[in-house]
Amino acid sequence: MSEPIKVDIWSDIACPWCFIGKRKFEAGAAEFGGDLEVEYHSFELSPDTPVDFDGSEHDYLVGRGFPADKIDGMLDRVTGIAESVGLHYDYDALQHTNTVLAHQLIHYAKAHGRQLEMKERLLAAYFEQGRHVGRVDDLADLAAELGFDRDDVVRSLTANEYLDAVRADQSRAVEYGIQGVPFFVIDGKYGVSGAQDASTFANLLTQVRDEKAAVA
Amino acid sequence: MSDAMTAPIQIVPTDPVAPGLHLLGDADAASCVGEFCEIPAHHQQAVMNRRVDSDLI
Repeated sequence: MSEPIKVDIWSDIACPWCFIGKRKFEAGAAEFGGDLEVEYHSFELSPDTPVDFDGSEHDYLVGRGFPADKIDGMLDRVTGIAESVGLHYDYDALQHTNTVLAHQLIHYAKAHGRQLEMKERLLAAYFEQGRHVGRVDDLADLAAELGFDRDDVVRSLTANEYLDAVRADQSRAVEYGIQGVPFFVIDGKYGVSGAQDASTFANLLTQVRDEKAAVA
Repeated sequence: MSDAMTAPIQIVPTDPVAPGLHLLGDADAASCVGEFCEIPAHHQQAVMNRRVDSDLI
């Protein structure tokens, strides 16, 4: 039996293409059909984002200098593309926030062997359910919904237990030259940037499997 | 689960991002850089096509 192919994925929570790319990758992985070992890594697109912002996504983007007359159309288009992969983005309910604590929670879940589950939960909470993913109590509630020990999650996040792990991921991203996300590193050799078509992921994974088999 | 784009895309190696790591796939795939999340032209066209199909229904 061959070893699984390692796929390292750099991604943020507040990243519409990361959730869309996750679905496309999952579809490609299913099409590929082989064994994969997937690990998510932290990437903060906007680390200076405040934890609390009193306004809509439109308001936030206007404040960041985006042309007001283009924002709604842009969000509508992203929402439409998300729908095409089965995701239901709700930008009216979305609560813009800083994601560094959410990244720590993903590392906490990884330490408990449940990283993928937490990554999915946080993306859905942010884009589809209008949940706040930047505060300790809100994140602890989400973790508790998955069956984690709420008090221990509060302890971990309050102590910034996994902040060094988040920073280590970001350092590796810099070493790889990663500037945008999602970004996929397959078998430690190939970089794949962006929300690629599912068939592209499937073809790449097949290519890597064939290469590994040829040298085995 | 469904996927919007099903046409096969030729996989062409491009410039290395870092030593030992080579970029593969569609160089125009959508990604977020900073707070800017661009929508490549082919994605916009895919949405337009979907809306036209919906209108016909």
